[in-house]
Amino acid sequence: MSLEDLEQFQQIVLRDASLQAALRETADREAFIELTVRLGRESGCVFTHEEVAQALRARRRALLERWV
Amino acid sequence: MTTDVRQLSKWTPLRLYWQESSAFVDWCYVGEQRLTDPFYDQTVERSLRNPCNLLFRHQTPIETLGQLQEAEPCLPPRGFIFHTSRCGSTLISQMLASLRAFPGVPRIFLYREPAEVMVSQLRRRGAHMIPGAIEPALFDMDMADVFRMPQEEYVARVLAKICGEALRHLDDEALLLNYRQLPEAVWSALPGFFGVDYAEPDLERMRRASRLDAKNPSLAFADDTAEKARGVTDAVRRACEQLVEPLYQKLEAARTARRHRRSA
Repeated sequence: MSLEDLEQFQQIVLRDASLQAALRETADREAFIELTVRLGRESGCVFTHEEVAQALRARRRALLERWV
Repeated sequence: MTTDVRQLSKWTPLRLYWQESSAFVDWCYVGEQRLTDPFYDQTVERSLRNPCNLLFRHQTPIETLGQLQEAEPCLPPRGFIFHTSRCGSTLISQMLASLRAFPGVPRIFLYREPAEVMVSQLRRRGAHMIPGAIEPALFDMDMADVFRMPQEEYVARVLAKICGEALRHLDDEALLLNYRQLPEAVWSALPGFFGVDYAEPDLERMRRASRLDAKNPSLAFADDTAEKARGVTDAVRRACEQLVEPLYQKLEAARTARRHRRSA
C-alpha cells in the first residue's frame, strides 16, 4: 500500500507549487526524506523513510541506464 | 495523470522514453536557471542534485510538447550545428529529425581531420562511441559485429556513418565547416549564414569566448592538432584511411566547390 501512497503523493506534489517549493528548500538528502515522509502523512499518504530512499535510488539508476 | 502545460513553465525536457509503444517526455525542474553550461546535461545534473527535483518529475506523453508550443510559442530555431566529434547516433537522428521538423532552417556540419577525432575518441570515449551502447543498426552494423571488431574499426565506422549522412543531406541550407576554419568562421561566416546581425560588443564577446576551452571555460583554448597527430597509431591510421578518409576528402571537395561557387 505504501508504495502506492508514495506514487499518489508524487502526483499531489506535482500539482502543488507550494509543496514543491517547500521540498526544494531542502538540499540535504536525509532531511529531504524526513520532510517527504512528514508532508506525505499530512496529505494522507503513508510511506516509509526507506521507501523514499529506494525511490530516489531507482530514479537515479533509471537516468544512468540511458547510457549503458 | 494529465499534466496542465502551465505547470511546466519552469521545467525542461530531460529525456524521451518509450513505454508500451508510446513516447513520453521526462521533465526536469530548472527554475530560473539559464542554459549557459557547455553541455545541457550539466545544467540538468546540477538541478537533479536536489533530491526534490530527482524524485518529483513530470512525465507526460510526447504530445504535451505540441500543446506547450501552442500555449507558449517558443522562438523558432535560427540554425543547427552538427559535428563529428563525440556525437554518434544522436547526431544522425537529430540531423534527420531537424530536417523533418524544421525544414528551411540552415544547418552547419562541422568536421575535422578524422584521425584526430579518432585519437580523441579512443582516449576518452563519448557515450555514443562505446560499442553496443547505441543500437548498432543505426550505424549499419549488427550487435555481434560491434563486439568482434577492433575498437579502432568501430570508432571509424561510426565516424564514417556520420560523415556519410552529412554528405547525403548536403543542400543549400547546409554549410560545411572544417575545424581549421575556427574560430574566425564563427564571426566571419556564421552570422550571414544564420541571418543574424551581431553588434561589435557581441563579436568581441565571441572572440573572448573563443580563447577559452569550450568544454571547460576555466581553461584557455589550446589547439591540440599537433598533439593529436602524434597520438595516431598504425591501427588508427589504417581504419581511418580505409573507412573515413574518402568521406573526409569528399567533404573537403564539396566545401571548396561551394566556396568557389559562392565567390563566383
